[in-house]
Amino acid sequence: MICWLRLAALALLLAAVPAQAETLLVTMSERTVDITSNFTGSSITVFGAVRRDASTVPRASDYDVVVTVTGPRADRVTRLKDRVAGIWINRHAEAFEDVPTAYTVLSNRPIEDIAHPALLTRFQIGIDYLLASSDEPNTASADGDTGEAETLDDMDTSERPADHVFERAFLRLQRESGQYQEDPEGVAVIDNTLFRARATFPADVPLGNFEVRVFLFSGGALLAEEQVGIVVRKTGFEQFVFRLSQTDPFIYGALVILLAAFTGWLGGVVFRRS
Amino acid sequence: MQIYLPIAELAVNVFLILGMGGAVGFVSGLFGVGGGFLLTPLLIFSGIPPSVAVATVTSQVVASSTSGVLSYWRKGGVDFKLAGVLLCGGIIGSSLGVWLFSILRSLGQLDLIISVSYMVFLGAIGSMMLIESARSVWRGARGGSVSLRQPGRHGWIHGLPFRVGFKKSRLYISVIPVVLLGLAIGFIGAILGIGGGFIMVPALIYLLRVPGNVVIGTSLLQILVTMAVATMLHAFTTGSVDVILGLILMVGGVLGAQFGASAGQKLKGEQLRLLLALLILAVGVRFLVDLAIEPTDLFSVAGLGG
Repeated sequence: MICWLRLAALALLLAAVPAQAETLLVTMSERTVDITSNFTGSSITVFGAVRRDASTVPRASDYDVVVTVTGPRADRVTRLKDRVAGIWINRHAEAFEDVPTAYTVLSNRPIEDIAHPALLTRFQIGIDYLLASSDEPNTASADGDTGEAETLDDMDTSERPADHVFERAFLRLQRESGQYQEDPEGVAVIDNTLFRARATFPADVPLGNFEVRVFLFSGGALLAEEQVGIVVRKTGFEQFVFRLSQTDPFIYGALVILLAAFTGWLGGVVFRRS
Repeated sequence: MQIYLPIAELAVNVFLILGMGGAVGFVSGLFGVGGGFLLTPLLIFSGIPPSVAVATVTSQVVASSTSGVLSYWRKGGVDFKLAGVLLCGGIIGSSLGVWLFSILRSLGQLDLIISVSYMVFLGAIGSMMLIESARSVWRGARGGSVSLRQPGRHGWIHGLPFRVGFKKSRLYISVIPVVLLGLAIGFIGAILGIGGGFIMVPALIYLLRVPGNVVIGTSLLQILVTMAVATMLHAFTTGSVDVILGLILMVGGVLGAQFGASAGQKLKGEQLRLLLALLILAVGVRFLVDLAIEPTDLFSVAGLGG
């Protein structure tokens, strides 16, 4: 059953991509971000090229490239403090389910200039368009039968209520903490065919599988998309410690207590003799 | 030099944390208290998640009290029986505390409870100590000596059933207040990440009338075991004990305590108590200010589990 669905999806996909469309070649400086004891943040560079062949239609405008890096998804809650009996306490809250714990969007110019907000929302491109589409199902893969690349004409303008205070606060705090980043000059396009982008990861980067997506636009239309996965993981001692604390909390706790008792004893001995 | 903390999942400056551990160790050596009540807030103010700060400081308290217990033990200043009875209550108390801790964490009110509890406990204990020590400093200055003891005032404690003899402390009292005291301190300790020595010592002296030479050693032993249990419980329920952070704090604390202890010998007892009272009050006021003043950011983001 699933096999048939996949075949059908593949057939749709093949039908959706006309022979003349550009394809993207993408590679990265690193496929893993290894966290060791001296980890203070890291970065990877995404390289790529726009591949055209003889039959590719000429484009009226230059290519635009957008790179997004999406961290593992998790549930988050945003809380609002209020004054109760003279002190400030967390009073209101709104949960955001299955949101990226980290998100970076890089582009060669402001994304609003590259594509219409409806298209950005549909593909979750840009911090401000990240949560809007999580409310409604993504219909992008279902209507790819127009034969041309995605354009604005066949889509509704998604409505985003202006009174989303929790959503705005969530995005602002994620920006301030560096977990959500955007750089409208983060992609360098060379000679309209080659591009390069550098995504940075802060020291408190969430761990897990990240998805790097590269979008190629021209004249507001999405021409091609490419995805590559990367992994952010603890290595060596850090990974060992973390895993032990999760799988064998008793052994971990006992080791911490023994270490503490030993340190205390050692301190006493060293300073008594001196 | 930055180092990555595997449980807190962020990088901290080793020297900053070492310095904090050292400064608090100095204070703890100076006053003969664990210093957890200073260390946990310092870590929270410097950006360590409150749950990690509280859980990790419990392990640091184990290290600092081990040094103390060993040295008091050598001088015969530990009443093992009294410590054992206190512990029975302490272990129940810290289990309750850790349990409540994980509930509060999921409700999003952990920070509030930690702040309010700190404010209340530090404010109350600090004020009491301040008044008491100010009086004795005042008396010392006048040269007079008025006894603080008021016979019969604590008679109800001595009238309770289940009386047990504690040979080393030369006491024959009911186990009920002893167990309750242990329970209360274990509970507070698990929630606030403090050993509770600054509550335990006055309670042993004023409530139970434990002689001065065994008070600190016994209190430290009770704290050592209670905090070891709390460390284990935190490792199980919240998984937020960070061994790297703990180790840095332990090393700083043990070093600082040595200097604090020698500095402490140059000051008089009541002067020390007055200073400690002011310090405790200052931390309490800091929490009060944070709670009462409108925060610069009313919003906060957290994972659903904390």
